[in-house]
Amino acid sequence: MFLLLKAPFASFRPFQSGSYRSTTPVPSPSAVYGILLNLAGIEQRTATDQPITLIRDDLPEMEIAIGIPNDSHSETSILSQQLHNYPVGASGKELAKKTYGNKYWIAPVRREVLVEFSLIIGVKAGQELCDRIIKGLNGELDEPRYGLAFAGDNNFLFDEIKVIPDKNIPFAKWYCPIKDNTPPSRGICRLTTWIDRADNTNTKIQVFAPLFSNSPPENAWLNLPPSNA
Amino acid sequence: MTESKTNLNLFVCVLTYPAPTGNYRGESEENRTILQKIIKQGQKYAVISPESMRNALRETLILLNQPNNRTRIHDEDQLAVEFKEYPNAQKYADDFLFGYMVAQTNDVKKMRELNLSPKRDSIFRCNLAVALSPYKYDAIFHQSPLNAKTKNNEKTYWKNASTSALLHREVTHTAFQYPFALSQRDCLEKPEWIRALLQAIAQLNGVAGGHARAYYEFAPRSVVARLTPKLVAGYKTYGFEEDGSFPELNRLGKRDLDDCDLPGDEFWIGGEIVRQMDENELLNLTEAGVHLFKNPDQLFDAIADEFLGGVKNVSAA
Repeated sequence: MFLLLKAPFASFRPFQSGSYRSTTPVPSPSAVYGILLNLAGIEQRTATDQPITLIRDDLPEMEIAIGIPNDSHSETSILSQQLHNYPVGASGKELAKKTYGNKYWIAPVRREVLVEFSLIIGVKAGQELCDRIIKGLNGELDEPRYGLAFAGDNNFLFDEIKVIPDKNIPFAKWYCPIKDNTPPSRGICRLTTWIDRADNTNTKIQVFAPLFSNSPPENAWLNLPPSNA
Repeated sequence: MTESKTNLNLFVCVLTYPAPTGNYRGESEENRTILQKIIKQGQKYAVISPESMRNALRETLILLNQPNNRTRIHDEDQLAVEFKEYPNAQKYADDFLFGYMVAQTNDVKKMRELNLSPKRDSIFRCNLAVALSPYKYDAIFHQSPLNAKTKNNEKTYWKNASTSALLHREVTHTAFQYPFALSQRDCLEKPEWIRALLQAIAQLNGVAGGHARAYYEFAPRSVVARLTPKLVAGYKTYGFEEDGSFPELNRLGKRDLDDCDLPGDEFWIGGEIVRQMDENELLNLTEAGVHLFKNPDQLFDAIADEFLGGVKNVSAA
């Protein structure tokens, strides 16, 4: 099954802090997996009232491939933002009592944003799960769910998410993990394939490079959750 | 998550009236205060952040007598707010509607003892407001005077800068459009607060950076909304063109037709765009089941009735 997604704005932030917040060109495989589960109305989180949101360990398996259609006109823009944070050190500590544990310091940061974003996702999963994703999209699932699918920032909603027939898959650049000793290529990026929120040293990150093709190359398909997650 | 049941989602695009704006003052290039802009199809467009709109909505909700936890304070040396107490989505409309996050370990512990959740997603999903017309590199010129020390003020004298300053300020004359969305399942827990939010959007004002020096009206001029069980809008949520039209309305049709692209009865359209429609277009949309309103306020009232069912109006302060 292939899905075409369009969003006026998108932003997929890698792990980073500081005054410049970049975006990867595509959502990471772990984020795409989260979007698909959200559409299917499958809760990924153990509990939402903890400081760290942990991921359940009984989640469905699937293979996914991520690509940018060749006719995409997406551009990267940079915006400034007043970022609320907890300062390092004692700066503004007198302000803390006024915010009851909320972030009490504001610092200007620059944020990269993808404008007029298009994405194609390949999904190999059991028929039941594919049906759930489609039913979820159509609002036909009689299941508890919350919120709406978003493109990296919960204000950035998708305009369109639709299933496209296999014969209509657009020519696209598919993001494939690169292996050791691969020659340099354009558009390389690091994407998170799985997150361990309790111990970030166990978070899995791979280096990807885009490859133009009519359909996802064999090595574009990734198993999620990873077998050793 | 709340109870299991298929529910509707509300997707809305609001178009404002045009006016000159020099909204943003968070950044400058030497003595030039800039507009925030994004590049779209090779042109620059001014944008206004959702945070700016959320701040204006929060202050409008306070005027509408809705219980609020967070208040802006004006006598700190940076932008600042204060909370009355720990965030509480059951007690305060702003915590319920706009979410919050407490991550300090000690405070999280105290909140748990009070049976309060330390973080909450925003129910109100609002994207950037984007200018309808491209930025044309206009700037206006100002002079900030020196605060001079004289005999009259020598005991209370203060100053910021040592000289008079010349300032260039980027401006653009444009309307803005912004989309927002609400999931009914998230909203039905506190329908009276959602109705207040929709009323606040219908009279939104005070959306301003620039230390609110520039008055910029953000009330709806035209509105296109869809109330649907689907999880995405299914059309261009920034669909207004520079002339105020919304070309994708051509996709609306009768639900029971075989070639129906977007079912008209899921759409609610209001304001100037309806007032300017010719008779044929009005007839086609009416036959497709589209809900049409000449006045955007009436649209928001009607859509609140449909979305929330029978919750009474909120009272203004």
